[in-house]
Amino acid sequence: MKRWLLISLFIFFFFDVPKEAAAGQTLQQLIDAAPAHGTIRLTGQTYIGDIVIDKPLTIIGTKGTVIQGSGRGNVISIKAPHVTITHVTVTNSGKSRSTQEEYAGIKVYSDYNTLEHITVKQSFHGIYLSQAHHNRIANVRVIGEQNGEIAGQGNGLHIYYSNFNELEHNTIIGTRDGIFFDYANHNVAKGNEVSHTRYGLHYMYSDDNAFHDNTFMLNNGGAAIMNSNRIVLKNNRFFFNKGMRSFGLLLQMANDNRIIGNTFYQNERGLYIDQSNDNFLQRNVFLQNEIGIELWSSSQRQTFTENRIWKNTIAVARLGGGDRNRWDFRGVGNDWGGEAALLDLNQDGKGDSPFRYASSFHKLAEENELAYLFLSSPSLGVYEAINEWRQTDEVMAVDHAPLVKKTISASWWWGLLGFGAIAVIVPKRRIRR
Amino acid sequence: MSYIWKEWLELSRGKAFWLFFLLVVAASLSVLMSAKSLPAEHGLTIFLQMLFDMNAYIVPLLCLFFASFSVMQEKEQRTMVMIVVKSGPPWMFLWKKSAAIQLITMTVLVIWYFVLIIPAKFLFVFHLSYFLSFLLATMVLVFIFNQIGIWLGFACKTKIQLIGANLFAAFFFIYLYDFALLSVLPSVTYDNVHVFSFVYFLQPLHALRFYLETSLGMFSLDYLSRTMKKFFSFSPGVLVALNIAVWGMGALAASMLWSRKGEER
Repeated sequence: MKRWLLISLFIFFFFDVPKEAAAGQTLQQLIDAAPAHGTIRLTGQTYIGDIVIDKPLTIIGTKGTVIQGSGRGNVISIKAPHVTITHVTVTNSGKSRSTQEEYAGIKVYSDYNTLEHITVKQSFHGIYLSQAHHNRIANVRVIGEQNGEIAGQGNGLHIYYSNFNELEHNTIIGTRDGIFFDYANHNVAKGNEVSHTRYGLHYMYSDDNAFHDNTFMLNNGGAAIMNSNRIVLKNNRFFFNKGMRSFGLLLQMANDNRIIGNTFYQNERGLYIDQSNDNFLQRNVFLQNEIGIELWSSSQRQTFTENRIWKNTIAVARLGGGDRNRWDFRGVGNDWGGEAALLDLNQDGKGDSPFRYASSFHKLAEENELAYLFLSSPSLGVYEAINEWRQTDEVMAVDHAPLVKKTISASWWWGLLGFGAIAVIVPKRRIRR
Repeated sequence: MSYIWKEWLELSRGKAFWLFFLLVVAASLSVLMSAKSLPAEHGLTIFLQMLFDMNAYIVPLLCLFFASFSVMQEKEQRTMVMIVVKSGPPWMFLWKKSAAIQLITMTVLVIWYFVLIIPAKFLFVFHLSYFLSFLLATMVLVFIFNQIGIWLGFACKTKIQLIGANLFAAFFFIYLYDFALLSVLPSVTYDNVHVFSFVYFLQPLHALRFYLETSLGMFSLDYLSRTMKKFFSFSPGVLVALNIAVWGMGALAASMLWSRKGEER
């Protein structure tokens, strides 16, 4: 009998016995009653917050599970490590700006927590990590106010003094910044989708982070790296970030970053570099942006190699002074598409002479910011052509080893197709005769 | 109603109209094909904006040529005299002609865009308000350039003159207008930016693009400088109405004056 009792106690404490949320009990009472490392399964109903989790615990919701806050604080506060929350919708955090604390749907103060398959709505910040490390936030959807007053809304994910966190496959719409890193290092943002925000991703004083395979669309700015160094950006997509001050990626006082394999498509500015040095850009695609790369003279020693800079209204706009950047690296330059009419007689895939990209747009932009209004106008092309003819344009970039693509041009394909058609039709007619 | 039917028969029997319309269809489909890989949530916004950008170059030309040649045809075949004698003063003919041309071109394009939106609806998350904003912007474009075309049809005496006038009108709106604005740009300051903004948005392509991009939530007006804020202080709806009044109604009034001149002669 004693042995059975001991076995039962062992099972109760060490093996997870899922606890169904009973009617009449508040969620906080359920949490308080649950053992450490226990599991609470929530049904598809609305539970009233705010709640505080101060022991390792797993909370699993289902379709229709909503945790609704009081509107006066954080809906869920996680103060213990090893907490897992999945499949819930969190709403109605405090939104007051006159308190010392910034409220969130879920505020995490501890390490090694997992938040997955969660929707956060009607909250100031979505999820806020405060000095919290080694957490995982995945498949979270944060819906902001969208087009409300910018100071009146918080960030989708706010990472404050928090390191070594993983943020994966989250969707953020209509918040202030999508993901904001403030004094946060060694974090990884992967596969996130951010739209209709101020900056999709915003780094401030945050070093040694990595972000890859993210998509930033229809934001005021895709990603802004400010006062942050040694960040690796790989295979991200910056699309349709339009507006007079918009950009795909901004580097401001950001040094030694590696920007590799990203796509910048149809942005007002693909890449905007200001007061930043020693950044390395390789194998990126700048396609159909109003300005492919906007470089301010305060920025030096960027290296551009193997990038494809195609069909932008202005490929490179260098403002405020001379060019102190490298447009080729170890004998490999960039692919300038139709901008460069280059000969490659020795067929080594590189132009036989250096390519100088020249433009006169920078003069207009330096004189008056309203010049940006005309970037989508065909008349700007005429203006550029006239200045080229008058030789009043200026060299923006010199690529000593421009790449020449070894492809058969479209006219050749049509020629081959025509030849093929004739080859098929003519013998048939002969046979009929 | 019979006049509209007559106009439709004339247009639909001509190969040129269908050829031009086929161009719109092909271009729209190519835009759809290039947009189909976009994420479903935002795909519609971008698709409609790309479609409008394409329309901005094709539709004005189509409307200018069809409206103006429709009037020229009436003049050349002397049917205009017969209709005027039958139905009253020349302005009545102008009124009927405008209504028929507008109705037919708008109906054909609206039907096409409703057909086009069916596959788009399967590819992207559909927002009716976005689609209606796009339709409105395109129809205003059609209205303005149809009216200008009708006016040119009245004003020109020969077909060669008319081709030249149409090409000039397209060139004026696509190139010349902005080129003139670019030349005065260095003298624009905070004090006179309102005047510059007014003139800038008096170009229908600018006003309609601004209207559509703000309606679709694509064009951000946040974090603007003081000058830019002042520049964008007009409401997009007001700017569209202003363009309808100045170009659409202006061209209609000019056509009336021209037709009266004809009456006096």
